[in-house]
Amino acid sequence: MERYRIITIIVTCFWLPIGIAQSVMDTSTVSTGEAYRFKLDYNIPESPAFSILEANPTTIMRASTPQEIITHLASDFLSGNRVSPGLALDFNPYFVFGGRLQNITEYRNSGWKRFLANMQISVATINAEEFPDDLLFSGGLRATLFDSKDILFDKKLGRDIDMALIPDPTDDPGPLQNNDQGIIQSNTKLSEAYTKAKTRYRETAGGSIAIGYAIAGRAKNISFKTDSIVTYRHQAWVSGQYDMGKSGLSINAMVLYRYEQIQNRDNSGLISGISLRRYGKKLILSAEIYHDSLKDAIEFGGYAEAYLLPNITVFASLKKETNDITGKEEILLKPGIKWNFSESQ
Amino acid sequence: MPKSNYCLIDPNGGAIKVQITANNGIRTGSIFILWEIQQGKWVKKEKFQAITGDDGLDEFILLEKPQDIENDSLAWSINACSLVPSVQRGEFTIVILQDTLNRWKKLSSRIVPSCSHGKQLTFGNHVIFKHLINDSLTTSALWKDIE
Repeated sequence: MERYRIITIIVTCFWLPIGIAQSVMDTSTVSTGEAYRFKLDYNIPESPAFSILEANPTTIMRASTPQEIITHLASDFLSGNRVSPGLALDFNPYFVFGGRLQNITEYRNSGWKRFLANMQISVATINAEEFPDDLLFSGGLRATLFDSKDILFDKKLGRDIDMALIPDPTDDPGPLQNNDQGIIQSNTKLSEAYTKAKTRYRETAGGSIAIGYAIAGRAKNISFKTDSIVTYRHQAWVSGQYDMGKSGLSINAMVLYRYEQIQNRDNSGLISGISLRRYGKKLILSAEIYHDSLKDAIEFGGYAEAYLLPNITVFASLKKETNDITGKEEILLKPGIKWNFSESQ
Repeated sequence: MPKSNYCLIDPNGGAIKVQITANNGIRTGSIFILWEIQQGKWVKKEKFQAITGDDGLDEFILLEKPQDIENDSLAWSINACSLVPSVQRGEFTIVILQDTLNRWKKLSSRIVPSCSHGKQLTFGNHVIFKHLINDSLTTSALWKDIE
């Protein structure tokens, strides 16, 4: 078992330097280095696959529209808690598997296309103390049903981008212009457009609703033979979010139904609660409280998320939880990292 | 010497319309210039700006008459980026139309950076106009012209 734990740590350690190296490379030019600050990636929803494995730092999940391809890393390097290092990858299946969108107008007018474009598939794996000889894995699906702050509805951002993309008058194409291959260039005007959009986003009041489903399984004795793989948990949830605007405060509420089979015992129940978040420019603070009917306990915790490096979000939560095995109440520290994988080009 | 594209147009037909499209919510801003050779030098005749915007489409009509643009070059430079966070590829088309007839078309699929990264894809090309030979003329009529 220890061998697999070490492999997971190596994998985790392998991803992290690449992410940091990418960030350092990005900061080598001023215009590119500045770009990360303008991204709207500070409201990334939690990974559905990590949620079912209880590897997310918070229990109450956000309902905002997902962004790009995100890699989540969980670790217990500091805390020695129950959840061991793990990795989750979230992506949009529609575009990854060849889906097309005619234009932004179609996205705004077609609820079906918007549903597909905002769908999020998530896969994850971790080691856990609950099943010390097994490898846990999970898959999840999340869909945003409604988001009044969807960035693609921001017409001002669209116009600003259009203006930023108009070629400079000094760069008129010559009569025998031949640059069919194309080149990727930095454009500071695009970054400025996102600076303004981020301010508008933070200061606008609005809400969103999302639904999700996830399934977790375990490979007994780390064997992937058919008879060694069992599913042990299912969950489905609905979450809502309301951002209050200029105050930077946001309220989230979630109701989650969970069914699990652990140590030949069937168990099912609801996890429901609320959280309050305060969005700063580079720091998000939040507190949550929820009732877990499976454990018949009221749990609570605090959470901080900071943007210290380009493309990388560092977070940690401190929460009171009831241990599944011992039944005792514990204070858990869950640190982790989210890396914006899509910037690796 | 770059390889040129050629677009055959009817000198007696209607005005030349140029259309640019981009799908997947990709935004583009572009400049098109019509060049003419005068006394051995290329001279700018017309300049157009095209923005595909929310609809992914823009078009303009050349002011010059078709009979006056033989051997002229229409050159363009396009900047593009992806607005939809999950999209990294899209299809671009440039179509030259005359009297609803599709005279020339270029379709390309390209990897495009995300606008939110502060980056854009810049690409461009050109097309040279040539007059169509009137295909309603018979061979004997052509010989008659020569005689």
